[in-house]
Amino acid sequence: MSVDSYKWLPYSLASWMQKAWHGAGEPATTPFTPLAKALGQTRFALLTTGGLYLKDQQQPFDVLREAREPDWGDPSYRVISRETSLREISVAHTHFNPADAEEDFNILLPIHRFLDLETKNEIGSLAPSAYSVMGFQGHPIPDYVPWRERYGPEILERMKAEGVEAVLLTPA
Amino acid sequence: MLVLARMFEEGGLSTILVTMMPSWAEQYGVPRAMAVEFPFGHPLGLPGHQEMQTMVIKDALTVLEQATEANTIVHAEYSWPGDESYWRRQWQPAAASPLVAKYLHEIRAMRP
Repeated sequence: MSVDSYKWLPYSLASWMQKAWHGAGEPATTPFTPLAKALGQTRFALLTTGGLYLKDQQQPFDVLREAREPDWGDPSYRVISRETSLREISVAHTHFNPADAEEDFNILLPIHRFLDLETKNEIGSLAPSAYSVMGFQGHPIPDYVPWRERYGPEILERMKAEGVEAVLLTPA
Repeated sequence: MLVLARMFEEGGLSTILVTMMPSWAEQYGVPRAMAVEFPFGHPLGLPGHQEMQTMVIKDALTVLEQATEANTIVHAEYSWPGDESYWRRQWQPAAASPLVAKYLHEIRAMRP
């Protein structure tokens, strides 16, 4: 099977994305850190680009500014505890229907599934913190400078401080 | 997301991406990815469907465990368990995103 990246998009939108969206000039080589331990001994963190936030405790991603400046996306991040329960999460992301993720955030940030795997010793453990960003970072060329220079290093430092060895990444 | 995956790998962590857009991962490079032909917003399946979510996660962890080099992209053999024409609309936001609204004239011009 070959997954069709544009299967779910209307023809005109898919065609426009392929014509008008550009990358931010990634280097030719891709870094690779081999998994150091068996899954059953590995400590995991989770990160989604789905725009999830704790609705009573955190600011939503800035979709009001995005409404004024459609070529801009909020680069900040939210830390979401592994203790989070289902009704505590909302979604601030203008590019998909958030209803299913607000019903069960595990389809984007699978904290509860990883707690299950931890209980069954199928992974070593799930770190205390999971992470959420909002994936749309600008058009026609995404502005990744805030992720590269500030937020990415902050997240990485926090993961390492919590002993994380591997990360599951889930775009929306 | 690919930018963050690179930063984590450079920082000594191993990453696995579950993506609906493998063409981007191929174009821009990814340490490891599992591609799923699922509607946007649903990389791990349907809400409340724990067995489906666990299946996708375990398959992704197998890719993480078995990949030996960068740009490993495994295409999962799943079929989305829902009506295709319904889900082509259902994943979309109720109102067009600001980006789509701004460029609607360009998007409409792409119609055959």
